[in-house]
Amino acid sequence: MFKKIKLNTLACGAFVAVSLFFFYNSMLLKYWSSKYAPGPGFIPRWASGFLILLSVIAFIYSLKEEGITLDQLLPPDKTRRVNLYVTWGSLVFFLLFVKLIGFLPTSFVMLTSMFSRGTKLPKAALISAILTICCYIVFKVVLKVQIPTNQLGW
Amino acid sequence: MDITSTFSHLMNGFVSVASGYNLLYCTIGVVFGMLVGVLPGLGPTAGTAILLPLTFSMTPTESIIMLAGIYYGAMYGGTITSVLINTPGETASVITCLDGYPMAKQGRAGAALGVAAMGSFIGGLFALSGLLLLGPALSAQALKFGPPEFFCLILMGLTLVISLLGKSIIKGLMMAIVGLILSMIGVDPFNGTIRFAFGHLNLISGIDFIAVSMGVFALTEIFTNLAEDLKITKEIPKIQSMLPYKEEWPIVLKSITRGSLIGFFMGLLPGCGSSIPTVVSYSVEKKISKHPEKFGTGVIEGVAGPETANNAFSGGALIPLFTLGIPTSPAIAILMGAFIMHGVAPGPGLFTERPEFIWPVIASMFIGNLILVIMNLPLANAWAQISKIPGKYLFPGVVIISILGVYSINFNLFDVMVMIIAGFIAYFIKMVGFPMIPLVITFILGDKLELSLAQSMTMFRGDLMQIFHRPICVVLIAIIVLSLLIGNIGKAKLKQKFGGEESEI
Repeated sequence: MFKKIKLNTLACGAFVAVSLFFFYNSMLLKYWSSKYAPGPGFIPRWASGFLILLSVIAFIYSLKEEGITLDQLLPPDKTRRVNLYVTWGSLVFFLLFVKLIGFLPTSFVMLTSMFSRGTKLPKAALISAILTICCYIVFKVVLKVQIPTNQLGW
Repeated sequence: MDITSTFSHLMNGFVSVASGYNLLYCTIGVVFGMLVGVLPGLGPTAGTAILLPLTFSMTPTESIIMLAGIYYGAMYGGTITSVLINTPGETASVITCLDGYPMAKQGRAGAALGVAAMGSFIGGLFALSGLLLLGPALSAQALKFGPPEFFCLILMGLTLVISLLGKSIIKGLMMAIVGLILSMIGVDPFNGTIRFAFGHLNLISGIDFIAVSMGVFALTEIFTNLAEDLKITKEIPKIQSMLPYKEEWPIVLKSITRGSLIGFFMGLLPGCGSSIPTVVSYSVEKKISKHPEKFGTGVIEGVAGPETANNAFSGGALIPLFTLGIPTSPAIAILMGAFIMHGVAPGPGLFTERPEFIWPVIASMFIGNLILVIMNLPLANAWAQISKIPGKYLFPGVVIISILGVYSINFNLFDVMVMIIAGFIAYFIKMVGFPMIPLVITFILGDKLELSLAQSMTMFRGDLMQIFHRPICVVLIAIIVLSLLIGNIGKAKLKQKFGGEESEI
């Protein structure tokens, strides 16, 4: 049953929730800062209030319209679905571990997993290694970007 | 500003471009732009967003010269894949496939590319000439704008974008408000109060525009492409003579003239999008032609007109940015982000307060167009080979460069997290018709919008109805109301007549 929920409905529902959240928080801010000048809560209140209205209208429309359901979100082909899972998973892996183990190993693992979706693992590992080292040299050495490194300096 | 002083400033601009690294960055920008245009899956918006963080260490002039080069360079590059493999490199080149690819199949790929390059060059020059003549004049008028006028102008630009782009005005408005709310995270520009930070240090300085725009444009497109079959197996036809037949020259020149006018004037309209002028130009050429039935089989004016309109549009679209500070398309919005990042406020004061910045940028565009036509004509085959790079190799590379680019803004992984989350959410909500352009435009303009409203209210002592006593505001409000009211009807007719929705990359 969950899979038959329309994406549009879910998205509009999320907009309603987000707008209510921001509306509530904007009520905690001052509406006026002086007699004529708007306070920090002035525009947020109007903006989130208007967003609530629009989101509810869009939500109601979404219930009547046809649209993509949750079980149609991802590509039907398994290979393409796995491509997406691997891409998202490797991005999350990068975020979680880059500060712990450093840029070079994390990027290498991330890129290898992404390249391996289109080519054999040894070739993917080789391309990843070259690309990672090139990016390291260009960004850290040439452009002097302070990329996250591990205890060993890479 | 009269013609003599405009010309004098332009000459100084050329001298400035020829000095320092400006010419180098111009070349890098147009080459990268060509690359972005040639590669399907990456457009000028994503390309500009990806390179934007790398321009931090440059001067403002160098940065804008390079980023502008990417923008109009991509318009040239998109033609190559449209003609040779029937795959538009970016959305503005979709129409070129209709007659360009049939010409290539007839062995006239060279003529199609040659005419496209010439038309692009002439269209680009025409638009730049328009920029020279109209830019300073419009700027002078825009100096009459006060906070109320700016408030109305920003709203007008936004409502025109929402009305013309995307499937639904309601969803466009929702995304615009989300962009406005996101821009309010951090410090209130008028009162200095911290809002919506919830105690997080990273949110106190606000969410970075580059992280959001790279997420919603570049990363989303990468996800979309990685979910497709990316094997390119098409063969590239051989390119022979780059010139049209002798009897085609009058037709080509007339098409180029019409394309220049159509593209330039449509570029002035916020929300027009780069594909609409090409569609309009194609329709005009077909209507005027003595043999409209031949369109779609490989007629040269079907390539010349739209390609010229494409490049004339890219020049025309810079005028609202330079003179009024209003971005009219996603790529221009990224360019505006670059302006702000480097501490240059686009708008009325640009020509008078920062001539040492704006005139080298304009001069570089003349040079950039020349570099592009020189690169296109003899090197079309070489560029075509680049389009054969499979996406399975290209897109992971783009991912790592995007991550490093965003990280280099503040050396903070939080920005990378924002980019990934924005890309993830945008990937799904784009499927159900939520456009990203209004979000990005209000995100950029949010502070300015809020500040101008606050200043207006203070000026009017709380009585906002006084805005209707100002003639410019009345005109702008009328345009806002009209664009929202008739936006749906007009959009439906436009789309029915001229084609599908604008892509945002």
